[in-house]
Amino acid sequence: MTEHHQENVAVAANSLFKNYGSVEALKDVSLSINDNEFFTLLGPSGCGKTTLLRIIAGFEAITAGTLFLHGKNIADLPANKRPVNTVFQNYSLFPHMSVADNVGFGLEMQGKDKNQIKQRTHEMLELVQLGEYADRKPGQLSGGQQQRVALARALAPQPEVLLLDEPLSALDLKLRKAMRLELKQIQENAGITFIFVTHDQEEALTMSDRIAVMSQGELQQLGTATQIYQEPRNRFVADFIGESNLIPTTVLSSDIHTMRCKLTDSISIAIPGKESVSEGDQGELCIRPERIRLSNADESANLEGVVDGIVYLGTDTQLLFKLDDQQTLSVRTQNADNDGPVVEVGQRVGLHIDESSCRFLPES
Amino acid sequence: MSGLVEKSSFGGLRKPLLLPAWLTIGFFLVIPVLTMLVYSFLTKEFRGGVLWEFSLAAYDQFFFDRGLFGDEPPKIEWTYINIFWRSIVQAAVATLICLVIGFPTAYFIATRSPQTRNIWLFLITVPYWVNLLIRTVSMKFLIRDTGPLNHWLMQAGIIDSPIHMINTNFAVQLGLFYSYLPFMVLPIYASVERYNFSLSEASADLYAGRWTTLRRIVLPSVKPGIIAGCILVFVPSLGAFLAPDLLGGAKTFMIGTLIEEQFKGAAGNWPFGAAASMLLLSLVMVVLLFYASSQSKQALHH
Repeated sequence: MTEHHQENVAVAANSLFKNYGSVEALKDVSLSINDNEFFTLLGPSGCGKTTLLRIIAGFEAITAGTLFLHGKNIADLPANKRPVNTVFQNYSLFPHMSVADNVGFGLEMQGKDKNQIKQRTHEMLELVQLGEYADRKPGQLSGGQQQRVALARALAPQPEVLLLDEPLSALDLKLRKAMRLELKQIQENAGITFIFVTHDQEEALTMSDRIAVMSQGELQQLGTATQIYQEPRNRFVADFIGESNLIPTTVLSSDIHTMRCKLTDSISIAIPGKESVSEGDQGELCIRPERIRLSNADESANLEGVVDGIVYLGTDTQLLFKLDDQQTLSVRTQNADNDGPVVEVGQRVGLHIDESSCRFLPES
Repeated sequence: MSGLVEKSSFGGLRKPLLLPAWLTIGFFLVIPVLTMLVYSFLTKEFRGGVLWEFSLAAYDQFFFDRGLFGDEPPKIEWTYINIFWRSIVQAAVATLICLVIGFPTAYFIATRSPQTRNIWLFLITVPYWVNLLIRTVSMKFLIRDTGPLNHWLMQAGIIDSPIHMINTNFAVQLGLFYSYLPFMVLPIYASVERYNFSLSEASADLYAGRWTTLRRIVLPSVKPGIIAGCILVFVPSLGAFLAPDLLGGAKTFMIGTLIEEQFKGAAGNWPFGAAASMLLLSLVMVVLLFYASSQSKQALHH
């Protein structure tokens, strides 16, 4: 193998392709996942994230490409020979076995002796706080408890990498939020690489060290939560992660530091420069709604709009503006500092856009 | 809970709606079985039929040998017990063969794509559109000494002289297997189809090989289908008379044939046939009770 293995890389995928008949589920996906990393595959359903996870687990064969686990080529290794374990979306606990037998199953298959199995099973059940449920059947537990058993079962054999396939999606919102913190904590304590699949951006942003955003079988962007939120590489990422105003634009002038982009027919804004962008390029402006302020009082307003709609969201209020060229602009104001301008539908208001946070997304 | 729902949703209609079911059970189960029970305690009439006199002679004849004139001290009569025992063994072997062949078949069908599954199920049931008697006779034709099977085997050079298959246990087994295979395949198919295959993935994920996964995860999950299939094959095999009669000989005489002969023609003995039927029924009931108790034990665990 020409592949040069780096010390701290757990999983290295190179140009992975996966076809189901004529459907391309993965198209040229390359990424490397580090040891002890909480790595998230994020994307809408059908984006290929679960396929990638199942390929790493060994449930699906790859059509082309290479796959390495700690420097070892595992592409042709069957699932039961790979030192990775999975937490399944619907837990897939063995219904005819007790909780303890479920957790001990992997250890038993590894040929561990009875005492070791008993001890490790006990440890794992304590870790997920289900010590007293060892003799129950999975069917007698709640969804959240089953989820913990699935986690304990997958962690028990001390896998090199733990794969989690939307493990929180079947839980209710409150439990889901509590489990996020707990999962993150367990990952840090266990010192195991977690590869986490989700379609929930909030889940991804709160837990992950790094996130791979996927769409239509392709890797769209790979980076930390801050990176993918603040520096979206393309329209898909800007639209999928958080909210954004995506406004068609033309580059009026460009150098390394700043570029001037058309906002409306009469107004342009100066945003941070980008390499490989030149004057006349077409694309979209990405403006986050929370980066726009109402500024009737001061002189900093860089454009004006008419209030078209007001949506109260609890902590925030979303305001919809119509600009002079009928373009809609969404603005979010925090209700904590509500001593600012209170507006009414139909009112004309000055707006200030934080130009340094705006990004130009070239046409793909 | 479900009782409450039924009562409230059907109200006063509940009893009339259940009437057809009760009538069916009454006419086709309770009355025939009671008739048999009563007949088994009556006296035999010589040209077939019964005399309305209470008698234990039928059961006595089944279990005891009192000599040609009935005046010797009773000895255990092994003839009929042996026939019963042989029938049980035959039925058990037939069940086992059906299971060994039926399980992979059912598993295969259940793992096809939903569209092709129906075609496979259809193919399994096609032979059953033909009458059982005709199928059994065809089997006889197929395996006789000068039949096509022997002919092909000899032409292919596998054997030199025809294998004698007719009137052997093998022939009876073949007949039973052919008659009852779908009763094994269909219930197993139904439970494999409901089986959550991600459990097999979870098992492989936890380092189990394919056989271990089959033994430890798949088989326990589809056990209800396997038990149902075994009962559906074992029970009719036990009382079968067509296959043993047409394909077997004197050595493969089974309960079904024994009972059939008691009701056929002038040589019959109705009380004795009825008694043998009641004993067969008791045996089947024991098997079913065993099954029911194992099911309720499982239900308690869940």
